[in-house]
Amino acid sequence: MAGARWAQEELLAKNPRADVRVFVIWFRMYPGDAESKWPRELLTDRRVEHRWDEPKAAGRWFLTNLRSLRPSRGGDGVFPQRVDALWDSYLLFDRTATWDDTPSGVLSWGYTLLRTRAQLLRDFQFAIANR
Amino acid sequence: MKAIRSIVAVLALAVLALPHPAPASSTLAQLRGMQELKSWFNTFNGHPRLIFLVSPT
Repeated sequence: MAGARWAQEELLAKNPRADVRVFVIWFRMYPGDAESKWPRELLTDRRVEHRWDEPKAAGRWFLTNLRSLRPSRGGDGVFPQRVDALWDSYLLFDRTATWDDTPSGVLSWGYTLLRTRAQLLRDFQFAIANR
Repeated sequence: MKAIRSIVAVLALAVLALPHPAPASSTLAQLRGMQELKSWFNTFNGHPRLIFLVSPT
């Protein structure tokens, strides 16, 4: 959750006019995780949508398909180990990205959020400036 | 007095013009599969898009 807090403060609050759209997918990864523990006070910006993903469909899908996405601005390629879903992670896409079978236009992705936040900050600034 | 009223009015307008956070929602909607994510993604073509995958740990 520290990563989500960081994103609210450093990406969204500091760039109130950026036309970015954010989708936050919450799901269970540790024993004790629960929908009821969703921190509703985090990422309350109007540009953000939240969902609960009980079957971890999105995390599983991205873990399976991540290697085919080829981020244009690189990344260190560190994957979570011995888990069944990509989590504590971000994926950033450019303006032209579309999703047919798989999404195009990946600028970068990172695991964990806090470990890769410097890259996310750089690529976020690039994405919102590049009109 | 008139000047104070003008200042207050200007300040009020400035506050209204600031971006406001959305009111915190009391419920968390369920993701309706990858199709919903894909649909959201394509709806906002033309915008940078950021997806977070997180757990409430």
